[in-house]
Amino acid sequence: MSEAPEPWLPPSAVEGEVERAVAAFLSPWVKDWLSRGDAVRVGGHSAPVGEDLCWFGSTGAAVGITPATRTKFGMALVDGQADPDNPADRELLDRLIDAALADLAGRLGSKGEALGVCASDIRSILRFSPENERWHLLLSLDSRARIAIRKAAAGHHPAPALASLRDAVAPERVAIGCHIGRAALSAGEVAGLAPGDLITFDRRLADDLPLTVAGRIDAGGKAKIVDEGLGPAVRIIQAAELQCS
Amino acid sequence: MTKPTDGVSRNVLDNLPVTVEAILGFAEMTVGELGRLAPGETVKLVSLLGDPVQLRLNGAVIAYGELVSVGDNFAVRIQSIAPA
Repeated sequence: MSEAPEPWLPPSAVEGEVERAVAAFLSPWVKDWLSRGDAVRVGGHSAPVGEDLCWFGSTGAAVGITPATRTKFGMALVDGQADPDNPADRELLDRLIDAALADLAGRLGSKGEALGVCASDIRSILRFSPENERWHLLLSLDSRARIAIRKAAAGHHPAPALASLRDAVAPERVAIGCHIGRAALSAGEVAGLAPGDLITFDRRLADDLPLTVAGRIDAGGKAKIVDEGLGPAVRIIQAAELQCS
Repeated sequence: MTKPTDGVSRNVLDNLPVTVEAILGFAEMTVGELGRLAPGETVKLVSLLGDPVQLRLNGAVIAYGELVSVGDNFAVRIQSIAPA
């Protein structure tokens, strides 16, 4: 057995400790990847010569890895500080690799929290590849997955219910009046009107008068000018019809 | 100097029949309040004399006056009028 640096985790690591350590190792990249959906390259610090491993499938598919790649991936996880021929280190590497794959599969799987709302056929790519003799883990997602992840991150914000046009215009202030009547004159007579002149209109005092809304009399309402001893007032005879065409 | 056509035009305009309408504006309220106005409700006027009546010609306000009665009919006494 070669003299190896201190292992990343002691072989005596208790159950769960490896898994937690792996999750902590992957979390910064995977979390960033899942929240942004962009391709993330996880830089490896070890220098083992690796081989490509591509996993291209639905998010619910298992993450697979070849035996040869397992060792190299495990060595990358511990930054090369383990001896795969050492049974104790080997056991630790296996646990690390299994934990890492389980962690990734869990995060990418249909039960993953971040992808819980995604369709099961969202495609994702998990790729280990050598680059300049260094291992890199490339995580990427296709466009549909990116959109789904961003929607999930944004949360569900239901659109406000539509307000009726009548409710929308309800706060608008309008001038209300009564149409007193019409008088037929000539333009010359109008031009000759002066203060103090009297014009008599066609409506009688007892008539119902059309209501005017914003100066128009097509609202259909009617009113009457009354005086019941408390001073003049306008009594509504028929309410204006407020309909939007 | 007046052109002959000016006299003809003025004569035509002087005799042009027009209709003047009178509108008594008595309140300003929101559309919501208007929608809740029910038959029988009254809106008190401070004073008929105090509520100016608009005289309109083709929708344009040409004069203001006060509401009076002549016999059984409504009438308006001119208070102010736009220049001809």
